[in-house]
Amino acid sequence: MTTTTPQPLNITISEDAAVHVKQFAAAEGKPEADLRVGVKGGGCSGLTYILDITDDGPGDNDKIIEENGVRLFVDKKSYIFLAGTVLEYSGGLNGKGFVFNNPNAKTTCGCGTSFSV
Amino acid sequence: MNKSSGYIDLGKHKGRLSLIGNDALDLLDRLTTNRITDLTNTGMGMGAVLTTNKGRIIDLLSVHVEEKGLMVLTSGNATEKVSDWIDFYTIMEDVQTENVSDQTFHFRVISPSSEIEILPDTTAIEPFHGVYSEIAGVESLVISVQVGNLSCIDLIGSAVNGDFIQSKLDDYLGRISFEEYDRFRINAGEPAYGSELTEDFNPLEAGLLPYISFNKGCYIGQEVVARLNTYDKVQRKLVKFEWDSEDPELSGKAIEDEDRVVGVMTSSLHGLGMGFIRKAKAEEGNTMTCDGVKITVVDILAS
Repeated sequence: MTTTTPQPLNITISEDAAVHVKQFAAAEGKPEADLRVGVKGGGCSGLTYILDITDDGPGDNDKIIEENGVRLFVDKKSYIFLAGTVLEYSGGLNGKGFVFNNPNAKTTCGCGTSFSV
Repeated sequence: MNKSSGYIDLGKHKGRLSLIGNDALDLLDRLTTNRITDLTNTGMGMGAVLTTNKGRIIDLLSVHVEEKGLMVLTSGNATEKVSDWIDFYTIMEDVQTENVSDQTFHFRVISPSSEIEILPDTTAIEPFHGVYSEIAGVESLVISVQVGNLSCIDLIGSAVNGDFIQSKLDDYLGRISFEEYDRFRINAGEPAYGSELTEDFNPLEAGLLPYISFNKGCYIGQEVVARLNTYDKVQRKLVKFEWDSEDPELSGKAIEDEDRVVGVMTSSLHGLGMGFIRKAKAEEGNTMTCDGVKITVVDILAS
């Protein structure tokens, strides 16, 4: 009998989202900056996403994820709520900008910026 | 009870949480219905409702700015739930929450402070706001509280001085039992945890409109509460009832009008009660029945 060990769910960023992160970082005059991803309490549904361009480097409690040329910093408590999330970018006239496809989110509010687990 | 003078020991009936940290105000603002970030100076305070993401009531909080952080007064039986709720949503924030209920005394004086010489005069202080003052030499937070039409004073300080403060209050005031206070509360139309303050009800139908800011931005449950208000979707209202017989305990019993259930009694004591009924039935003077007892609506507590 063979057993498989569950792999920890990662947080990933799509190629398109990574391109837009670099564009925003350059526009802020921080072309080498990284992306902080997290959640905080609040928003209509309970938890709100955080997305910040940062050149402060990672904190002691951060997980560091590097994909498509972008480094993501995620604090460990936020990671619990974000494991398995794919950060994508929805462009165009009807686009929503950065979109969190979060498998942990049971409900989201009308504007999509907050969720409950 | 003489309604104009007396005091009750709320130590076990209320909970007290201490929130310390740079993000305490901001976090509570994101979790409750009122604009907590307006509390900028020591002594300031306000009421705010902690709501679920479905806009239902967890508890009605009283939030006060202390020199070192915030003092959050909860309903006694809700303290652990409120503390756990705040802890759950403390993620990256600089906030430490501690239940200090056992370390603090909490008395409520039902009397104008100007009549009791050991108390500071709070007549010019708006409800929920307070001052730090020495009461018989004991440092205390003195908060102005409005219960119905009566001005009250809450005294909070270190539990080691509780017996001493109580002995001083005994010199001026009679002790009020919890049952007496509960009748006073119902008569004043004050909702209580486990009765009117439950996840069965939303803040608008429970008459908590004064504790809701509709322009502060997002908080948990905001979308639902705002929609209920904007589209006038509130289905029930909290009202006060009276009936002739002093005996029947009607809490939890259905309220009927022409054999149709139109609501539920949530508090009752000696011919006085509060309950939620359909909005269309909420008019002063309307009569209905509860467990066979004829009851009359005497006050509408939710606008």
